[in-house]
Amino acid sequence: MKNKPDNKKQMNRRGFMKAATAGMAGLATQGCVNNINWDRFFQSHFKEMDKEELKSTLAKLEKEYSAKYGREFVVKATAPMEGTLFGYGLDLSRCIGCRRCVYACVGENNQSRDPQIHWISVMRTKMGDKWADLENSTRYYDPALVPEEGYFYMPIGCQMCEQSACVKVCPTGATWKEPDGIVVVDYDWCIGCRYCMAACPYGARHFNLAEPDIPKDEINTNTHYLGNRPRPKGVVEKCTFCIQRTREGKYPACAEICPVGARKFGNLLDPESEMRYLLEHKRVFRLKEDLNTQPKFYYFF
Amino acid sequence: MVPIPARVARSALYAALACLLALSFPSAWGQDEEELVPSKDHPGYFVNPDGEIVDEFGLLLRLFEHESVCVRCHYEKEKYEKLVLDWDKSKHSKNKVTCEKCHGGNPKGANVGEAKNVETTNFQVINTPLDKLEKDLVPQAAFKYCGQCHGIKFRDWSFGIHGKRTGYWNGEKEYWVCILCHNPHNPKFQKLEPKPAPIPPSKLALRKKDEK
Repeated sequence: MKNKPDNKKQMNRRGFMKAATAGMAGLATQGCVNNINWDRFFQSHFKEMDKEELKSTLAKLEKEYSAKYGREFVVKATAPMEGTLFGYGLDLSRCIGCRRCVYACVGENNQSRDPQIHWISVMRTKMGDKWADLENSTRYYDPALVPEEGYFYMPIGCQMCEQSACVKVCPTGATWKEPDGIVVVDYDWCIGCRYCMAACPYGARHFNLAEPDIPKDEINTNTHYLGNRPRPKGVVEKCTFCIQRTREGKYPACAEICPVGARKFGNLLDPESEMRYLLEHKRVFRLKEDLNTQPKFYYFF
Repeated sequence: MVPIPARVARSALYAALACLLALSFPSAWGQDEEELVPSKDHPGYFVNPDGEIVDEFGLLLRLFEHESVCVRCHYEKEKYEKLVLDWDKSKHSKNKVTCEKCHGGNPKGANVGEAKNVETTNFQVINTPLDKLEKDLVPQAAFKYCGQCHGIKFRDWSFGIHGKRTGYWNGEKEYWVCILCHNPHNPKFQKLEPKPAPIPPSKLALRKKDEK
């Protein structure tokens, strides 16, 4: 009968604890765990930081990035303005699909060049095709000149949903909606589970599969903690309406570069703003409205 | 008589026909070039067989069609090639929007003084480069010249829906007036070269150091 456990070979609880502690201590003293930045490991969640901790964290980040890229960095944590709710408008009858916005965004927001990450996807659809679910659209079109006859173009970035699916599924609370309507990510709290990418109906979230590769002379050193600061490997990132610009009153980079002026940006709570005029006077729709995500990104024509 | 093979006879017939065809249209090539005579009244222009004034390519200038004769005096080769030929391609040239509609003056005037009627000509606005124009005159320029026909577009522009604004969404803005984006002599947007397409996931390779 071998029902009785063999006491000699089986490890008892005390023995296991001893071995485990010894093992952990061994690992910690050796090189294996030395790569972990312990300050960052114990860093609080952005929303829970008090003023002093925030200040010291930003200083630490500035130091770290300056050392890494060899240039002076500014990492801000500009708070949202009172009475603002950002909205975005895009004129579909103007957009010619030239992708100027895509690359302006890459430069402004320090996206990885290799492996390539683009926060904006410009979708090309044949006129007359079923388009609302984007099944028949492509982002890999490559003609010599745009616009092409018989096609229309639709740039898609983060739609800044009021009822964001991505925020609901995040298990660590690393992503949330700010009071001014911008959905942001705390890269130091993101564990890279990519639930949000699966949940987002717009494909607006992107994952750093490798350590981001940004040329040192092209990096934007004016950064925001929740926005375009350099990201580590293994976190999710997304459009933030250029939080480092818009919270200071500037237009987003994509709106400034657009050669046909198809991109509109403004405060939805300000009755005098461009966005409000657009909503009142133009034919406006939102993407995948049936999902009740309530985006603040309005397409018009 | 030696019988000629049918194949040889046929090819000889084709050759003769081809010769005849070529001879019957002796002036198929270079006809326009030969018969363009330099115009005496309009330096740099030509007169075609119908007595119309055309440019060196035999192109009938709509400027003359509409009896707008500014170029007769204001002729500079460079400007003409850059501005007037551009205008000739545009929709404006087909819809009688001639020089004076924007530049002012009256080209049908009896003398130079009348042609350059100062009252209908806002030389200060139209002849100043836009970056040197006083700030409050900029919207006025857009309104005066383009807005007088394109009313709906002008209304949209004045609310920031058509066209572009840069600077601050809640403060000092730069208003991009019509001619900063549109070529005033040929306002329709020209096609652009797109930036490179994104790399599809199938071709997305991780760098070697991360693969380890």
